[in-house]
Amino acid sequence: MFLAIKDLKYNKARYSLIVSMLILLTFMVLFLSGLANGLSLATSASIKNARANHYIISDDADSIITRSTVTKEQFQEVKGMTSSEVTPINLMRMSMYEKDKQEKLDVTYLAVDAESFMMPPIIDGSEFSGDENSILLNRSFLEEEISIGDTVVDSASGIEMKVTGFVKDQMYGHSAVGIISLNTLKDIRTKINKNDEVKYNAIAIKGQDIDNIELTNAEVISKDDVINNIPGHSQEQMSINMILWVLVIVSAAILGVFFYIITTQKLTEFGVMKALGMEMKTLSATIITQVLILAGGSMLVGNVLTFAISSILPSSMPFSLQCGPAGIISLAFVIISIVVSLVSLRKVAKIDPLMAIGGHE
Amino acid sequence: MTSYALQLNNISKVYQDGDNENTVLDKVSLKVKPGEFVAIVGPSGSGKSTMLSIAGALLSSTEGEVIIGDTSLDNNKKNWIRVRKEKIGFIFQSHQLIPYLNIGDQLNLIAKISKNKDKKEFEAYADELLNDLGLLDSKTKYPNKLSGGEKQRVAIARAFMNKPDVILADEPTASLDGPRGRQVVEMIRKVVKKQNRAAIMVTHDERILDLVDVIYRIENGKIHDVKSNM
Repeated sequence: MFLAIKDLKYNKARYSLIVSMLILLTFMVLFLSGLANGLSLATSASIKNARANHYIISDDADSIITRSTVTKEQFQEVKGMTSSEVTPINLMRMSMYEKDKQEKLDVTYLAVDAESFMMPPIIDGSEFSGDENSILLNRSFLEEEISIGDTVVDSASGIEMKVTGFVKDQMYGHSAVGIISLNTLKDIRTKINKNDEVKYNAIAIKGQDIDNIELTNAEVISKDDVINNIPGHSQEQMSINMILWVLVIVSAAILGVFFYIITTQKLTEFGVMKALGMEMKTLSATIITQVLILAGGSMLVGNVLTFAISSILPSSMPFSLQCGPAGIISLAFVIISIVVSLVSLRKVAKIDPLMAIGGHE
Repeated sequence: MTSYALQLNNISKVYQDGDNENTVLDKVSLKVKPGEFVAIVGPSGSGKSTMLSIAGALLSSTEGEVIIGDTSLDNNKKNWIRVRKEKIGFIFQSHQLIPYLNIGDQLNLIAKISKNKDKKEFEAYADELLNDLGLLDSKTKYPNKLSGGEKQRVAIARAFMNKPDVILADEPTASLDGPRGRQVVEMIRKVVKKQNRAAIMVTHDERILDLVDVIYRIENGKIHDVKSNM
């Protein structure tokens, strides 16, 4: 401890270079983590934030809600099979435009029963009533200069909906979500196809009582499965996370190489200390302490920096840094750093204190 | 109890060089009493550094016995560390100070290595040593701010810090000019006499030999000549 700190203090310039490098690497790694999480939310926030634990979807839908159809009869059946709360939902990607404007906007309608647990909290605006055709938009539509009271028109059906409020973190498949009532969706559908029967995309279940649910042509799948099967979601996550962990390892390796070089430069010193009677375990403690201070300190500063910057990013950027993943990455980084510094320790362990005496190499 | 600080009894060191045996030291014996300052001189390759390394628990001998204070060295290298820590003070060829420690901390390091808990006692001792060596005013200076002679004097202070049985000095004047080298050896003598410790100095500098008590001349691994100044 004594030596570790004295060394760091004396060689401030040298070590602050290493630290600044590590801080930047930390920043990069954490930023990627935020991006991974942000992209994940952009594809799945509506499902992730919903209070449902399981979904029933048709078994030919490859676990993708938008491909699935569940009938009204099946919904009635399910109600009798479980004590958990159940509610039907529809999820449909469409486009709409603001009345009197030409520009089409991508939107995914999430049709829910306004009284059910699938109804997200409204952050701005009045109570949502399912009676007339109204819509709650994700906050990102604020950037399209849509405000409460405006009217939007569904492109395919021409049905007009009044914007009665905004919700936050409602995204599906990189498209912003508009919450509408099941009735509004039915209106849209019958307008497009007069013979349309009432069908749902899925049935959401809140609770764990799923063992007795057995339907023909439909299955119960977990929320996580639904999220992982959203087209693009797992592919995106896999590639970003791979880059992220490669970066973590590369950063730690850089620290290891730095340390190895510094250790090599100090070999004579270590040999002298051994000749003076210093035990290897004290030397190891010195080296590990230094790695801990450098890696831990850089991690800490890097975290502060990244969290600070994430608070000023534009909301259209898919970025969401969370303490959990940031903590795991930081911890992994420090642990990997210690592991790579063992290479330096081995080098120190091998020095013969005899080298301190002249005439011996 | 023996009255010697260091005894080398019939020390031999043989290196295996292919099929040949290379005898570096051949049955060398040497005894040093507390308060005695001994010089070992001889041409390079004569084995004087090897002898110092064996006496310093840094190198094993092929044959013979090393006794430091009341401890006989065995072949367990783990014990060697303890012997070096407690019973030996080294002065190296070039000072070998730790660059990032100021003079006070160089001595502090020895206290940490020997796990000296009595901070007051050790600080008083450190100050006394620095005072004897004329370094008390430089206590907060770092090695790169010191002259060569001053650095070697710090190294002397460091060697005495653990109150060793024997001081081993390896060519302490090699990196210094004549007058400064002489001054450094005078300092070693001063502290050796004051604290009544034994010291062995390997050197090839004939000009300083009037400062030591006994001179061993070593050639081809054998002690040829012993001369006493006393």
